[in-house]
Amino acid sequence: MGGSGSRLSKELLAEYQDLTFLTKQEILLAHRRFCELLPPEHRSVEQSLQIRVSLEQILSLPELKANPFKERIGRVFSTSPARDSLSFEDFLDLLSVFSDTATPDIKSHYAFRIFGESQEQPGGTRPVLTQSWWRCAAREPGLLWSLGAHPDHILSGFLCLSLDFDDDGTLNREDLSHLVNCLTGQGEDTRLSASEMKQLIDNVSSQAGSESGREGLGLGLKLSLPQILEESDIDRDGTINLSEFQHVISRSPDFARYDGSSPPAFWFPLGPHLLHPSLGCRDGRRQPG
Amino acid sequence: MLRQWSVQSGQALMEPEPEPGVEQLWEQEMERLWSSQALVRELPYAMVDKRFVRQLREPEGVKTSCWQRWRRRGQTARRRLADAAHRLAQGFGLWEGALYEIGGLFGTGIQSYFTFLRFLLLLNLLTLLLTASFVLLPLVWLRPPDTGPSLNLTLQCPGGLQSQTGVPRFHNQLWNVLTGRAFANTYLFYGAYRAGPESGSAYSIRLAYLLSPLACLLLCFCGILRRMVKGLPQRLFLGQDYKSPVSVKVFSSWDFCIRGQEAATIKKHEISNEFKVELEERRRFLLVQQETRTQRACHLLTYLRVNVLIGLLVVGAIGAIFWATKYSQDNKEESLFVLLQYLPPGIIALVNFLGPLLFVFLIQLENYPPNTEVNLALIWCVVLKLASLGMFSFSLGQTVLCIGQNKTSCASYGYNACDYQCWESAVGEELYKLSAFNFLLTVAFAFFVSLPRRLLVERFSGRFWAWLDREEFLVPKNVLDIVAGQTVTWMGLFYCPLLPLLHGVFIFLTFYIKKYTLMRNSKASPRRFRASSSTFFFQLVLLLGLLLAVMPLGYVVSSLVLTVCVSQSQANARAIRGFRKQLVWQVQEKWHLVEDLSRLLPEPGSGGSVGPESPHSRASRPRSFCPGFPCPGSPGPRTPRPGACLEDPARPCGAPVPASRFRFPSSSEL
Repeated sequence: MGGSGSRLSKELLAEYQDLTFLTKQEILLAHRRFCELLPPEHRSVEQSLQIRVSLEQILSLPELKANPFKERIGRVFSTSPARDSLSFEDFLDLLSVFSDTATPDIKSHYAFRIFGESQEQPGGTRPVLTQSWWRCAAREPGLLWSLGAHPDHILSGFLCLSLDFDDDGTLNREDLSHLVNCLTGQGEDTRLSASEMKQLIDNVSSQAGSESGREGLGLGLKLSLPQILEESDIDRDGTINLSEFQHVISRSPDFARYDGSSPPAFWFPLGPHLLHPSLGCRDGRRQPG
Repeated sequence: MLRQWSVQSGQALMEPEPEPGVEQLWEQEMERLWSSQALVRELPYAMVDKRFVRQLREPEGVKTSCWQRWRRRGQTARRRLADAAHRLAQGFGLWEGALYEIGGLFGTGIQSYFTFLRFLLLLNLLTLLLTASFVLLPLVWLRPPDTGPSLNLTLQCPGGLQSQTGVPRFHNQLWNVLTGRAFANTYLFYGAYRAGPESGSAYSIRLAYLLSPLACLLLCFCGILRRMVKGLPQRLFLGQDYKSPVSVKVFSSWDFCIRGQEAATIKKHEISNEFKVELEERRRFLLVQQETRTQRACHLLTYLRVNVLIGLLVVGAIGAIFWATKYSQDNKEESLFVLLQYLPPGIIALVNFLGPLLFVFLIQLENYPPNTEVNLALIWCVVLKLASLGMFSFSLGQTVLCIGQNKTSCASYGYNACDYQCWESAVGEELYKLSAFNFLLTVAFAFFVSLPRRLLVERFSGRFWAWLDREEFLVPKNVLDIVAGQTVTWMGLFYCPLLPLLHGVFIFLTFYIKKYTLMRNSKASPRRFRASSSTFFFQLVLLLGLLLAVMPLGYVVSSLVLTVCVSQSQANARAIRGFRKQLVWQVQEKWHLVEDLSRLLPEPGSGGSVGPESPHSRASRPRSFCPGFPCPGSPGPRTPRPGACLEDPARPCGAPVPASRFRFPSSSEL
């Protein structure tokens, strides 16, 4: 476990156990993993609580390295102004949401935020409140996007996403197509064609369907296929908001709490193994060629 | 209120002042958070905000009363206990590191197979524990007297009695081990479990032996059922369609446990295939909806045609297995001893290897939607596997127990006593051979097929080698293999009580062999296989195997119980008859005695003889007073079955019954 100097105090542990879903062992393990990312001279307990680790370093953890959503995850949990670094407490928040005892509600909430993140960098500027932000906050009283991200600011948790959501804190077609592209990868044989994407996401009406159907599937039939928006968009405004998203997710058996023999979605275990300086030698297989 | 906080924080906001409506929103939100009962950790805010909310709720600092501290300690203790119990139920943390590694590299679909192996190992160990504690330990502890072979075969056997447990033809140790002969007199097989007559002790080993397989099967059944039910999605039957909609697939299909780049690529392939398959399915669905009636009838006919064809193939396969088992049993002492011993397992393995290939080929000839193809092939593979095992046990039963046959050798003892002195051991040997053969096949495939294939593919490059590629790790195929092995173990619980131990060892070694194959010699299949539905499928197939194994065992135990009861009643009847005959004979003896005594007394003169005086009587009876045994003229020597000569009219019984003054009642009157 390291020397006695690097252990967290009992009160702090109790507080973290209160505020997250992690057990004591998991918190200590997380602290150890976090300290490994720090330069050796800053590995004391006090400093580890103050220092922020850059996003690249966090994203090089084996648990996140292969994840197509890793940048989004990093940005959602980051509380720095430019959203490019994580403190230890942000790291704990991340692990808490992805632990096996987290409630499905909180998982679906964060899933929504992660899927709604877009890829563009905020550009290092501080976010600005806009009308759209307030509209979204008004519609969803649970979402409290805060101002700024100064660590001393009391409500610094959520960062304003007005720059990142193209509209109002919902998932629209672009977000969904981006999501599907992340899932299927960019390889030639795996990515879906434009027509397939359109079919998957939209409700394809009869006339529009015949054209895209002909080019994509070689058929001249009238297609009206219920797809993602059709299935999830209850108020038919062309976007999915948080409550619709949570409703859809609740129908997935994988999102249930982890008591069965199969692991839930949106979960990863924190491994006990130490990080290697050259990451990537955790793979047991020899890479061919 | 907002300004109050910003003043408290000591920081000035650098953004433009928010609109007045905003302040209200904030206040409302703060009110809501302060008064809500939700736990702080369940709020979707950052740590610093959660701390703030907690401070809002308990402004005097988080003072924990004694009650709260006690409750929290109780909660953590309960949580720790639940974690420990969970770990225990999952196998004492056995193989945790390996499972974690496999899950990270290949995803949870393949990891579920290895978790299933661990579950089966646990089941086998539990079964073994039960058997050992209720049968083996009392047997060793109580040490009942050895009764020795109790069978005295007196019937005429065709071909003469062959000595089964005599000196084997092949003195080769290896073949003795492989065929089970080496263990013939150990506790592995039924024959060694000799229990003397019930000595009146409180513990009946016979009963324990009879009931322990049933108890083990019941335990396994409950365990599997519980796991199956826990794994079912809660809202499976509540939703309007239990096929998960596309949106759910999109949002929850990424496996966050993956930690390698290759595994991520594989997963992306899987997801892409899934989406394409989904689109294909919907397109077909629409096509089907627009079919005319004749087209629909045509489709139904082709569907039937394929299924009937495959059904015929399955029937042919199990016929081959039946023939092979009979041939092997009938020619046990041929010169091709070794080959014939392993003929049934060999045929079963061949059938189960060729069968799925043929099925897949036939099914793909028709143009079914992809999901239907996969499901149909899987169902038929399961049917073939279980049917082959069922047919094997049935044909064994036929040769050994003469089910449905009328062999004379079976008539008196209820089983083929000519060929099998201890038929339970013979059946146990067959099942042992099947289990060992399956394991050896696994090892052989891993080292003599996958490994050379990988070496060749890596060494050479060319179109053929690129097409051949590494072996695919197919989870359903591996699961069916291990479930078949487990079914054989369950079938053999009665004949071979330590078979779970053997199978447990096999499973342990299989884990490492399969892990090696997966890591080094194979590639993950891009076909989709979701973990949640797949574990349900594994448990279902396991349950079917268990039900299949229960049938022969139930038949044997019930018929055994019946024969025990029947023979008990027969023995009772026999004993009663014996006593009657004894009584008759003793009465007859008494009358003879009386007769003799009367002759010694002076004759009354006038005839008093009741019956006609037999001419032989005076002459044949010596004038001696021999009350003892044997008396010539008495009904017969005092043998253990005194009534035998009275029973059998054909056998001469010494002198005919002498007439005397006192007519004693004949046996028929008694």
